Amino acid sequence: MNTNESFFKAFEFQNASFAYDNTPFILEDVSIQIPANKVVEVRGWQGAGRSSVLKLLAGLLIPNSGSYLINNQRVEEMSFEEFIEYRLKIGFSFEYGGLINNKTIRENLELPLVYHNRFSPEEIEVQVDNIIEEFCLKRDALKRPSAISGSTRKSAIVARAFLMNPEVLILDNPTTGLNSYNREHLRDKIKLSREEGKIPHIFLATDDREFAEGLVEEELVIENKMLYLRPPEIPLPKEAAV
Amino acid sequence: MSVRTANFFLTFVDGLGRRLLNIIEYTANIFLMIYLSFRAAFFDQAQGLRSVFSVVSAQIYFTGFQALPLITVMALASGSVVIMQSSAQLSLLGGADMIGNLMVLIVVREVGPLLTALIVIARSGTAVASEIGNMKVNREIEALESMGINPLSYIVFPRLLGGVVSVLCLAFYFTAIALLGGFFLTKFISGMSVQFYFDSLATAFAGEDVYLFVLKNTFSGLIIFIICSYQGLLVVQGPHEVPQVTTKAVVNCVIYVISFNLSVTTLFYLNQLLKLGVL
Repeated sequence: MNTNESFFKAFEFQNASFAYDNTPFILEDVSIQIPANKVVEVRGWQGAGRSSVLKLLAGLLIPNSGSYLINNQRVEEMSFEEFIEYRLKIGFSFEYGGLINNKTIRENLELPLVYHNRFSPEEIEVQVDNIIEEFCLKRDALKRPSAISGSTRKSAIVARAFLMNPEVLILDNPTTGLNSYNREHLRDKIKLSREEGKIPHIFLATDDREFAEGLVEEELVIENKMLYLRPPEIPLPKEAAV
Repeated sequence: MSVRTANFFLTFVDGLGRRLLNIIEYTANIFLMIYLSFRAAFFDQAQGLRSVFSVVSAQIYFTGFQALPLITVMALASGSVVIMQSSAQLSLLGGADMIGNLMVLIVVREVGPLLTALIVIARSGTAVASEIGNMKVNREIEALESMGINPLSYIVFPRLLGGVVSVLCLAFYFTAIALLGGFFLTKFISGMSVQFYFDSLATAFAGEDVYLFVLKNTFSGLIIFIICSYQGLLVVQGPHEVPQVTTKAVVNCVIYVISFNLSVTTLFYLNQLLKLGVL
């Protein structure tokens, strides 16, 4: 895989602590270098804060104290406009929600492309048509999220993460509610993207062990408000749900 | 003074001070959000105008166009009532030719801006607060951020712009319908001639009425849509907060709009008195 051209070189937490308002800390004084150019799975007990860690990695949340650095740049010190260069290279798929309810599925997929004004209307149409075809969204493309099944909604959320050709793909429980065809397609697409060097950095959290098997190269485990890395072979204790 | 009374007094002053600080903080946050949304809209280099204009036009359609029937009814009712009541009283006092001055004073300067603002708060302010609140609950705001779309420039700014334009247009429409429709509706009762009424109105209108009208309506629109957007964005925990923030948005909008209109009117008349040398 060709990784030399990647914009992202390093992801690092430095003495980072994170908690939502009036709740216990999810991370406390964590310092760790997250491996780049790998498929990293964030693992932990249910409720340990896997989604929050993924959002921290995407820069959607910032640590309450300490720092999160991308390419040695402190994310918390960047304004929205300064971070946009990074943001546009990160594709994020939410566990649930995240589709704009007053827009059709097609408009949802078009939104980032139209908003950022980086493609012509013809290019946008081709790109969106392709992704709609790939994730079997054609039948419901002109419906709004409330009018379609949960499985189709999930497919649209996952599909949207691939638009804008991201270099970092962050998937929060991508297979929950996804139909079997799209589940397999997503797995194949991730593998192909890795082989072709299109998406060098992938972070995911999943309860689907079958999906993760053979895909994950490193695990980032949340335990006792800390993060540590380990190879993917070691299974979590049985009572841990994931 | 007994200890109990002193304690009561101190608690009262403490509560009052706390409330005042909250109001100052809230007002500062509102101003900050206006600044940030304008800044985001003008400095966001990535933003394509196409996507923002669609939100602005949708806002103008919903806030401006769809409110026309209600505004028409309110304008006709208030215009007719003011003409009927005042023409009768002015005739008794021998000042029938002052009807134009009275209409401009009441309808153009005061009732028009205030009633338009109240209608917009009731119709669109509530809609904006609950829509943004629900977007927060459904993680739509977070999703926008993840796509590199600044919610302040994509959600807040178009609503502000569309809201201000709508309020200005609606207030103009309200004033026109109240002045003209109100007159024609009551013409048969009051017996006033068209020529007389329009002459009186033309004499009464002054440039400062236009300034006052534009100032009041522009800021009313700004206040309504920034407060409602701000309240919507305050939703954190879940759907149960949406009706709470909507109610608070309405209450705050009414208080701020009335306070603003009152302040502008007071300052305007103080200035008039200064010019006349009374003060």
